[in-house]
This record gives sequence, structure tokens and C-alpha cells, in this order.
Amino acid sequence: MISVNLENISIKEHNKFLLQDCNYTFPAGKFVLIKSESQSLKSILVKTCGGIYIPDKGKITYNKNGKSFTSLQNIQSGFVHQTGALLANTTLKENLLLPLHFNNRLNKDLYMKRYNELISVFNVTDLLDYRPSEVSVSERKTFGFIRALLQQPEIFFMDDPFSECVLQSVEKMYIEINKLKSNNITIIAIENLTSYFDLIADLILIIDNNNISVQVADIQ
Amino acid sequence: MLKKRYSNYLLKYGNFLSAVYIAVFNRPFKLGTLSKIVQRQIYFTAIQALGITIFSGLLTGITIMVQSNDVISNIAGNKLIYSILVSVITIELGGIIPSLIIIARSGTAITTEIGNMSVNHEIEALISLKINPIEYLVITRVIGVITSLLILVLFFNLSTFISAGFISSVFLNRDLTDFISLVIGQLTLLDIFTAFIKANVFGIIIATVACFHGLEVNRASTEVPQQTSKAVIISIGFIILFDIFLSLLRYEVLS
Repeated sequence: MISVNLENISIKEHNKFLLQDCNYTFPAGKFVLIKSESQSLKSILVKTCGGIYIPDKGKITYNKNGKSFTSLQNIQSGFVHQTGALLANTTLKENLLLPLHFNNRLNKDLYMKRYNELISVFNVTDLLDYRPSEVSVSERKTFGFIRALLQQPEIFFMDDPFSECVLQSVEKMYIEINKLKSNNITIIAIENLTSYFDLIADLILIIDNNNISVQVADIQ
Repeated sequence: MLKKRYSNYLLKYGNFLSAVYIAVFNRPFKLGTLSKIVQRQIYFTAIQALGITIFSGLLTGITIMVQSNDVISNIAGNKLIYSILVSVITIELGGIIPSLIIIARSGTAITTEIGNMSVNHEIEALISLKINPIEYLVITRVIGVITSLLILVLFFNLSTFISAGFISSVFLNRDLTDFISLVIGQLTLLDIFTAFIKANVFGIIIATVACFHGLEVNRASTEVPQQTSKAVIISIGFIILFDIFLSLLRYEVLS
């Protein structure tokens, strides 16, 4: 199980501090939902935790079985992007299989087994040969979600996965997220227009006045 | 102010080049997957540009032959024409014209593609999938552009010599065998080596500048054409600078 430790983290956007000298530890095996008035701060924070952005100041460490890592290179992680963020010049199938060629830590048999399972669960087999621009936003986001799940994640990040998705996809994603949660995978997520995560999050982190000020613990 | 802007640019570009260098030498390549991208890059950059390159080469050969025959043969005799033909084509135009073709076709395409990827958060997706964008996007394009430029330089030079030989034998009534032996006689290994080095250096410049400007795009799609035009201007500037430098090195130091 992975915990994420933020140490004196500062995040700036357009020379303005969105977050200043923040300290917080995302506990291992818990589902943490981040809430804030500022939508961009939530996105930037989840991307910073997910190793996509480098904080302007401070340090992030990932703790796994007593070992500390400064990057996610040695940890399997999945990231669901707000827009799906699929590679436009490749087919949806190639989008799903691309990480397999680059990430040595992925178990290939397990990856392919899960791939076949998920494309059948989400009923997207007919779309595999299309390019991302040829399918709907909801389908793009579904593929982005499947791609993140395929990474055999020990930690899972979600940047507003449900918005613009059809209800059928949301329900299936919700089931998969619950499976991750029951497997004690650490989950850090935000959502903007929906409030599904309020029902399953272990912790809700409220960020106000440039700092993590309120933490509602164990809402269940 | 201007000086600071240029030094900032060079610093950022230098940092980018060092990141490329580290990615080249510090990571084991996934050759299978990357070679497909390189092959695609060579197809778009070299194969699709062969027609225009050969056409430019043919016209260049005709122009040089007609102009130099008119001007030079009256002053210094025929032998100088071949000397000019070899040095102008092999060392100078043979590198520069294919480079300009690649900048116009593929340099702009690379910046636009990577810029759009930035806007659409595809670069972020690569990072989250633990795929190094430098390895996946930049190195493949550097290898592709260098290989393509070498191919285009070869075809440009050949087509120029062919058209020059054709003009020389058909319209200027010179013996084709003499033409071939005089051209080969003027061509030295150092000329070929200089052309090879120039093609490599120009290839690195075109690909890295195009990728660098593509990755400079942050949020808006309006940044894409701005960065593309910057990439074109800077690539041409760097190529002229390095062309002068390498020519000086060839004529002043190596010969």
C-alpha cells in the first residue's frame, strides 16, 4: 500500500500562489477526495501528486512497504485525465496497449487478461480500431479510464472522471473504483460536476485559503 | 533586454538538448516500438519529399551549369565550372536546400503535432503512463529527420549532377565521359565527409528545434502557429550559422 507525503508544497499559477507551504499525508489504502473552491487548484494538486507536475516548492514522497520514493517510477500508478488525454494519432486499441511496450514493470499476461476483460465489461470492442476524434467524449473518457486501470495500479489518481460521461459508463466506472477501494488501493480523486465520490471516499480534504485547512475524517 | 531574451532562450534550448542527450545515453531503448515511429517519420520526411527534392536538384544543376558556363568559362576556363559545381552542390546547397525542404514540410509538422499534443494533455498522459516524452517524441524524430536528411541530400546531389551532366552534354556540347571524370576528379573524401557531417548537424537542429518549440506550447491552440513560425525562423538561423561554421572549419582548418 502506498501513502503520499506532501512536505511544504507550494503551487503557483500565473505567479499567484494557489497552495503555499502545505503539509499533508495521504494515508495508504484510503480513498481521499479533494475539494476546493478553485477548480484549477484541485486539478493541479492531483496532477502534482500523480507526478505529472513538479511543485514550485517542497517535496513529495511516496512510501511503499517502509521504503520512500521521490518519484512514481518504481510504483505502479494509474491516472484518469479529465479529458481522457488519449493520443490522437493512434487508434484506441493502440492507446490501450502502448504502455505495455514501455513499462517493464507491467505483467504482460495480466495486462492482456485485464484488457480483454475491461473492453468486454465496458462494451467497447467495436470501437478499438477508431481514433479518439472519431468517438464521443464519453467514450474517450471511458478509454482513458480503462487505460488507467490497465496499469495494474498500486495508487490511483482521478481528475474528474465522470463529467460528460453517459450514465451507463459512470455506473461501470463506479463499480471498478469500488473494486480498487476494496483491494486497498490508495485513491486520490477530484470531481467537479458530480458527487459520486462523496458516497465512497474515506476522507474528504477541503482546501481553502491556499492551504489544506479542513479535513473531514472517516465520513463513513 | 534583447540580450537577456536570447540568453534565456539559449539556456532553455541547452537544457532541452541535455535532456535529450541524457535520454539517448542513459536509458535502454524500446527499439521495437520506437522503430515503427522512426519508420513512419522517415516515410513522411524523406519518401514523401523525394519528388520535390529531386525536382529542386534538377533545377539547381541546370541553373548552376547554365550560369557558370556563361560567366566562368569565358574568364577561367571549363575546369573551374566543375570545381564550383562540386563545392557549391556537395558542400553548400546539397545540405541547405534539402534542409529547407524538411523545415518547411516536416519541421512545421513536428512542432504542430507536439504543440497540439501539449494542448490536448497528451504529453501529461505519456508522463502518467511512465513513457518518457523525450524518448517517445523527440529521439524518434531526431533519428527520423537525420536519416531522412541523409537520404534527401544524396538524392539532391545525384539529381543535380545528373541535370548538370545532361545540360553539359546536350546543350553545351561537352563530352559526358569528360564531365563525369572531371566531377569525380574534383570530388574529395573531405567534401563527402563535410556533407555527411552537415546533414547530421542540420538534422539534429531541425528536429530538436521543432520538438523544443512544440513542447513550449502550454495551454492555448493559438500558441501552436506562433511556436511553429518561431521554430522555422530559428531552425533556418541556426542552419546558416552552423553552415558558416562547418564550412570555415572545412576550408580553414581541415584542408
